[in-house]
Amino acid sequence: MPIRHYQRPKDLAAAQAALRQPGAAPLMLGPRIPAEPFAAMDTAVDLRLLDLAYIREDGEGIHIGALTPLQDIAESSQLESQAGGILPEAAGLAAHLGLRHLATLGGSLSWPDIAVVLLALEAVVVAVSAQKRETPLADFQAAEGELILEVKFSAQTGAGGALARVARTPRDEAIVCAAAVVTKDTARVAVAGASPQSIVRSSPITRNQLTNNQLLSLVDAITSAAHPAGDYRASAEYRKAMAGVLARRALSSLSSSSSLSSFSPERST
Amino acid sequence: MIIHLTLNGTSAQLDCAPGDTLLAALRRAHVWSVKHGCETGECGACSVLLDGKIAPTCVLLAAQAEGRNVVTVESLASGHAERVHPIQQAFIDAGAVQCGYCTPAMILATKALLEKENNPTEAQAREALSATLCRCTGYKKPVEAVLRAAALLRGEIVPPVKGGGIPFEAVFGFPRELPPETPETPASHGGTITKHLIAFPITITQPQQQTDVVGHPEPKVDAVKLVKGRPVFTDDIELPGMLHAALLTSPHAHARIRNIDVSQARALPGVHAVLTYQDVPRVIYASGGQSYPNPPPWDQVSLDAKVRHVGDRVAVVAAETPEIAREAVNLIEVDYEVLPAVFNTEDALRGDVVIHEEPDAVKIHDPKRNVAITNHAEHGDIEKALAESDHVFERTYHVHQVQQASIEPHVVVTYWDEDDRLVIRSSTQVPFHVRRMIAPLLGLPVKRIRVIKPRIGGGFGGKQEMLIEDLCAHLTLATGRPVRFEYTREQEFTSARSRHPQKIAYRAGVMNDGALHALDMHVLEDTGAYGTHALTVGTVSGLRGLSTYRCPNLRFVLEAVYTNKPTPGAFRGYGAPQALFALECLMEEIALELNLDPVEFRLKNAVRVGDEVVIARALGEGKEGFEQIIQSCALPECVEQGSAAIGWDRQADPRWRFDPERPHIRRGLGMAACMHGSAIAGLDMGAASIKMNDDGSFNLLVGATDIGTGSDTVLAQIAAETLGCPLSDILPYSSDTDFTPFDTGAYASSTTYISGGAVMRAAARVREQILERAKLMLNLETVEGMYLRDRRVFAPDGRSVSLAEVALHSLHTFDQQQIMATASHMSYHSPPPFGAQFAEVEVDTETGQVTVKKLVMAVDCGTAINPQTAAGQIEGGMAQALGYTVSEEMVYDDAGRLLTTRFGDYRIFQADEMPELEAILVPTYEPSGPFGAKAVAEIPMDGVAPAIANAVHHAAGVRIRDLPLTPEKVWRALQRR
Repeated sequence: MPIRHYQRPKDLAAAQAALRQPGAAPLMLGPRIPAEPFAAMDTAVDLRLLDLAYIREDGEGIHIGALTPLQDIAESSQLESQAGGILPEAAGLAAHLGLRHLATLGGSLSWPDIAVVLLALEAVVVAVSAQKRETPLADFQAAEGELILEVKFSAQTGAGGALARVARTPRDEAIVCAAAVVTKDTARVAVAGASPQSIVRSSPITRNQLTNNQLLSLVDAITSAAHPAGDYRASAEYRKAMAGVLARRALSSLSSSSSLSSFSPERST
Repeated sequence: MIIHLTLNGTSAQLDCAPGDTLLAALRRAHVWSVKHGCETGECGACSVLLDGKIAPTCVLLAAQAEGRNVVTVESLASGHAERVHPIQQAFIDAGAVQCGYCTPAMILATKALLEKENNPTEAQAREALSATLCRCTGYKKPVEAVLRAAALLRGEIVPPVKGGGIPFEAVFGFPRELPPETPETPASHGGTITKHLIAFPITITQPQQQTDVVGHPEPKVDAVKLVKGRPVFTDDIELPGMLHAALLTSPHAHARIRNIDVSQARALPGVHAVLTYQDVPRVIYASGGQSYPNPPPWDQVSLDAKVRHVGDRVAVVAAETPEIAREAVNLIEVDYEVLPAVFNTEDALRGDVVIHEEPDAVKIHDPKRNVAITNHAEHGDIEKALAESDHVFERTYHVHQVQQASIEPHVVVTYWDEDDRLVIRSSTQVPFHVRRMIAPLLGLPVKRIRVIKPRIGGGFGGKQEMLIEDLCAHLTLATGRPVRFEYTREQEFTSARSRHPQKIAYRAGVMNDGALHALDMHVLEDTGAYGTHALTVGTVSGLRGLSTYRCPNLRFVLEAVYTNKPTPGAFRGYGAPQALFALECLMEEIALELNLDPVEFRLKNAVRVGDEVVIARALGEGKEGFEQIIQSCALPECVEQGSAAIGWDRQADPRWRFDPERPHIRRGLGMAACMHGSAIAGLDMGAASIKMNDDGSFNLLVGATDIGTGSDTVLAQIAAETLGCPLSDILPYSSDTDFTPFDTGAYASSTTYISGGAVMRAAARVREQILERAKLMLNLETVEGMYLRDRRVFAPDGRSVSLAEVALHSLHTFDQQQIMATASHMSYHSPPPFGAQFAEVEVDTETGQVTVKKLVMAVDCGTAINPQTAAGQIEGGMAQALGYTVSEEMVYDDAGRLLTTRFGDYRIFQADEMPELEAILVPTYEPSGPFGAKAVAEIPMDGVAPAIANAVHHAAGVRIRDLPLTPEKVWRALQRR
C-alpha cells in the first residue's frame, strides 16, 4: 500500500508528535533502499526542516547530524583529519554519488563500512523518543518511534585509522570489512559481515605502540567472536576466515608507530 | 496535493498524491528525459539535479521536492534548433551515447561536476558518472566526454573527431582512374579543388582514393535527440484513456493452480480487466524471436494453469493507474498445489519431477527426463582420434546464469488504431518476429497488427523475444483501451530472460608436436522453465567451441534440460561466451601442461585464411549447415597489437608479479583468442528501402533494429558512401512493420553484415537510377565512368549535376519517376571476426579478491564502418563480460527464489571502479561484407572471462573452472593449493 500522508514538521516537538502516529516513519534513507521505500509507511515524516544535517566539533568531540548526507561526510575536511579519514572513506564507499546525496548517516548505521568505522571510533548515538538518550553504537537499538538525532565521538586527530575490506568489485558492498583505530592508549578493531552484529574488540596500549602480540590477540578475539551466517555472497566459513584476515590487515597497517596513516583498500581508477 | 518547486528555472506546480515518487510526478508532467530503470535508486537513470546535486528520483517522494530547485536535461538546450549545450556536444563528439537511455542523467552529473570543478581529473569524472549505471559503453567514452566538455567550457580548442576512411582500392579492388582532365595540383587524398578557368569557376572533384563516410567516426545519427532527452523511447508517450498493466507472478517454483479467485481484484474501482489462463485462448508457442518456423520446443502459452518457476506468469491486470493495478494484483487469490521442483540439470535428468507434461507441447525431445532438445555433430572419428593422440586432456567447465540487465526494462504500449488495427509499440529487438508470432496468440491476422520499435534503451539479446507483448495486447483486446505494461527491475530478473548456464565437458587429443588432433565437446545446458532459444544457443556453443582451431576430428553433443528456474534466452554472444570460456581455459591448460607457450600453441593451431570451418557444415540450426571458408583473418596481428598494449612481456618478469608494498598481492596477465560469426548463415535476412527526395536527400527505411548499438548510423554511412552524399543527407528510420521492409532484427551480430549488405545493394540500385537520370541530363551515351560524390553526379569529362537537380528532374520535369529501390540480403557466409583479449589482474591471496586492472581487446572486424561506434561496442562488451566474470550472478535459495533481484545485489560495475579499457581495431577486408565489414557486436563478450581466469592462474597459480570468480571461490582454490 502506498503512503497516504506526508508531513514536514517544523520542529522537534512536532516531529516527535508526528512520529507517534501509528504507521508513521521518518524519511531517513541509507545506502540500500528497499524496492518500495515507502511501502511500510502510512505517514512519511520529512525531517528536513529540523536542523539535523551538520558536522561540527566542540569540547566534547565531533557531532554529525542524523540527516547529514553521506556525501557531505565523504567530502568533509574536518572528518578527513579524524583517525586517518576512515569515516569519509567509508561514506564514499557506501553508495554511488547520487545515492550519497540522499542517504544519510542516520539511515546508514548498520551499513558494514560505516558501522565498523563508527564502532572503532567508539561513536555514541543520540536519539529521542519520550526523552533523549545517549547510547554507544555498539549497544544501540532503535526503539519504536524513536528518532536518531546525531552520532558523536571523541576527536581523534592524533589517532591512526585503517579500513580493510573484501568485495566482489572494488566498490561493491563489503562481504566482510574491518576498521581499526589506534589512539595513544587504545587499539580498537571492529568487523562487520562475520556475525549478526558487528564485532568490536579493543586492547590497551602504551604510547601509540601496538605490539605484535597485542595485535595477534586482538585478531584472535575477533575470530573467536565471529559466528557468521552464510549467504549467497559468501559462506560462514569464509566470513569467519576473513574476519581474522581483515582485522589483522587493518591493525597491521597501524602497528608501527611511525606509520599511523590510513591503509587504503584497493581502488581502481 | 500540490507541490511548488523550481523546475528548470521556472516555478512550477506538480499535482501528486502523497505517495508519488518524484520520478512518477515528473514523467506525468511530461519531463520525459527522466527515465525509469529501477525502484531502488541504484541505476540512476531517473536522476535530476536537486538543488544542484545529482540524485535519483525513484526513491524520493514528489513532496520532498517542495520549495526545491530541480533541473533536468530539458533545460540545457531547448527548442528545435540543432544547437546543443557544450556538454551535450562533447557527449556526441566523444561517442559517449549508445542507447541514450542513461545519457540525460550522465549529462546532468557532468553539469553538476563542472559547475564545481572546471578542470576535473579522470577520477572526479568517474565519480560523477558513478551516479548512473551504463550497460552499453563501459564508461570509457563518457569519461572522455566529461573531460572534453570541461575543456570546451574552459574555452579551450578541442581537437575535432575525424580521421579514418578506407582505401578505395580495398573497396573496389582497383584505384579509381583519374578523369581525362586533371587539375594542375592534384591532391594526394581526394578533396575538392576549385580551378579558375577563363570565364567562370568549374568545380572539379578529384576521384577519391579514400572513402568519404565509411570508415569515419561519424557522430551517431540519433545522438542529438538522445542528448536532449527527447521523448523517443517506448514509454515516452501518453495516449488518451491509457491503462496501466501489472503482472502477478508465481511465488512457487513449481505448482498447479487449483483455483484462482479474481473477484476482489475485478471489483476494485479503476480496474478494467483481470486475465488468467481461464480468459485467454490456449495457443502453444515458443517466445524466442526467431525466424519461421520457430525452432522447437514449443512449450509456452500466454497464461497457464501451471507455473514452472518463481516469477512465472499467473495473471495480468489493467487499471487506471499503476498503483491501482498493483493493488489489484495483490487482491488476486490463488490456491496453488505446490509440486516438487528441480534446480539443476542433473536432478532434472532423473525425471522424478516432470516440468512439461502438457500434451499440447510440440517437439519436446524427452519430457519425461526434462530434456527440451538435443543436437549432435561429428567430423572425423573422435574415439579413434583420441585413442591415437599422444596426450589426452579431460576438463569440465561451468558457466553461470547472468542477466542482460538493459537499463530500460521491457516495456510495451498496445492500442487499437483508427482502422481497428492493433498497434504494438514495443522495446523489442525483433519487431517483425513479434508481429508474426503474436498473431496466432491473439487470433488476429498479421495484417491487422503493426509493431513499432522506437529507440531502445539497450537489449543485449534480452529483447530478442516476444516476451510481454502478448499480455499487454490481450488487455487491449479485453478493454478496448490503450494499455501500457512495463516490468519492474525485480521482474526483469525473475521474469525476463538470461544467459543459459552450461556445463561444458571437453576431451582434447594433442600430438607431441603440439597439433590438436581431437576435440570432443559435451554441453549440458540449463534452459530453465521453458526451451526458448535453447537449441540455437546450445548449437552456437558447439559451433564456437569447435571453430577457432584446426582439428581433424570433432564431436559436439548438446543436451538442453528444463529446471524450475527463470528461463534463459538470447544474451549477447549467444552460446559463444560459454564455449570460449571453456575452450580458452582448456587451451591454456594444455599448453602449460605440455610446457608450450600458450600464445604460440594457440596461433600454431588457429584457423587461417583459406581454411574451412568444418564444424559449421556439420552443425546447422538443427539441420545441415553451409560450407564456411575463411576469407579474412588477422588473429596473429590482433595478438601482436594486443600484447604490445597490455605489456605482455611483463608476464615473464617475476619482479613485476609481486608488490613489496602489498605482500598479499600477486599480479598476472592472461589472454584468450576469440572467433565469432557474422549472422546465421543462410537464415538471417535484412532488407532496406531507399527513396530520393526533392532536395537530393534520401529516406533510408530499414527493418534492422538499432537498440543503441549505432546500427542506424552504420547503415546510413553505407548508404551515404554509395550515394556520394554526406551522412546528414541520409534520413534513417527503423523500424515499423508498416513502413520498413523485413529484417530478422538485432540478432546474432548480423546488422552490419546482413542489413548493411541490403543497404549497400539498395543504394547501388538507387545509384544506378541516379546515373541513368544524370546521363539523360548531361546528354551522355553511357553511364560508364560516371561517379557520385559531394552530392553531385560527375561525368568522365568533369561536368556534373547535383543530386537535387537529379531529384527535381526525375520527380517533376521529364519521364517522371520516383528514384527508389528496395533490396534484400542474405548470406551463406558467416565470416568470423577475430579478436585477442588480454587481461591484467591483481589477486589478493588472503581474501581471494580479483581486481582487474586493465582489459585490452584487439579485434579484426574487417572494415569498421564507424571506428568510434565499433570501439564503443568493444569497450561496452568488455565491461559486461567483466561483470559476468567477477560479480554478476543469478543466485537462488533452496526454494528457487532468486536472491539477486536488484542492481546492488546483482552488481554491475560502476564508472568509478572500472579497469582501464583499450579497444584496438585491426582492419582486414572481408570480401563478402559491405565495404569489407564483419561483425563486432558480440565478440567482445567472448574472451574476457577466460583471459581473466588465465590471468588469475598466472598470478596465483589457481585454476578456476566455474564462473564467476568470486573472492570465496578463488580463496578456496588458494586454500587447496
